[in-house]
Amino acid sequence: MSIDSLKGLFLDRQDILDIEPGEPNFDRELALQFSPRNRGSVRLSLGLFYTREEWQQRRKELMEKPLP
Amino acid sequence: MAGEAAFAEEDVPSLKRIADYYEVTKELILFAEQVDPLNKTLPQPINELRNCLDHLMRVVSSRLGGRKAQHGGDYAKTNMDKAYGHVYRAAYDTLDWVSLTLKGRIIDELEPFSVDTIQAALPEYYSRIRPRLETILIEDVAQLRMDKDVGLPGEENLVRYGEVAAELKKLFFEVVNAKSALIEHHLRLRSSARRGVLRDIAVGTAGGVAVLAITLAITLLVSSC
Repeated sequence: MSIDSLKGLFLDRQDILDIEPGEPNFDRELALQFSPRNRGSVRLSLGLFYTREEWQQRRKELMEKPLP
Repeated sequence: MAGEAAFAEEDVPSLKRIADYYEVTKELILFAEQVDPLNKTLPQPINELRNCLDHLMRVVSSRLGGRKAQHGGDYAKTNMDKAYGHVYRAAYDTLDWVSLTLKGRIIDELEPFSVDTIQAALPEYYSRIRPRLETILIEDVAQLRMDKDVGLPGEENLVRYGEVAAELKKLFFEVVNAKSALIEHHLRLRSSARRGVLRDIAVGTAGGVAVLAITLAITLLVSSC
């Protein structure tokens, strides 16, 4: 028995490797909802991250802000 | 067949390059998370790394006899190039995050202080540090971003961006190391300003009392005559 025996058990597709992962679509609320199951980043579990829109906004502000 | 399943010789430099970019990106992500004022992370570069892994697995599968083994050499090469493109974007986006965050931190550190205090506590700020920051942020980084936007994802461009970000980090720590001197000077100025106000009040009060006394004396003198 090998890991190969699990291939194709869940999706009837032969091209799994060629499927593009696509853009992640999640916000803070969704991240917090799944945080009890998350064994990965503590920051993501705590909602400590920038969403794409938040980072674009912050990036713009920082670029425009003059130095003292 | 185990004997036929192997990476091609041409894969080795590409894999090494991807591994090197990954290592640099990981270091940059860890640093950026530490220096971010809100301790936040940025999922976008992590997503680029996921995409890199996805393409890398297609290469591995193709080379080592997995489902993709029937595809020709172009399949592996195309995916190797795509994996590189993703790890490059991960590194680039993280450098963007690092450089802008460092700029924000420098502003946050200095903003509460007056020009006089900054000049007194960090004498090289206006003569050396700020002009260099302006050059880095307005000329260097802007040029590097423009080069990237026109689609020249060369290693030279990225290395230059890395060097610029490292210089920003050095300047940021120069500012951070001057923090105690900045606070000390700020407090000294504030307490001397407070003393000045108290002195003005005392002088004003004494003057008022004197004028009142003189007026009273003159009034008494006039009325007694």
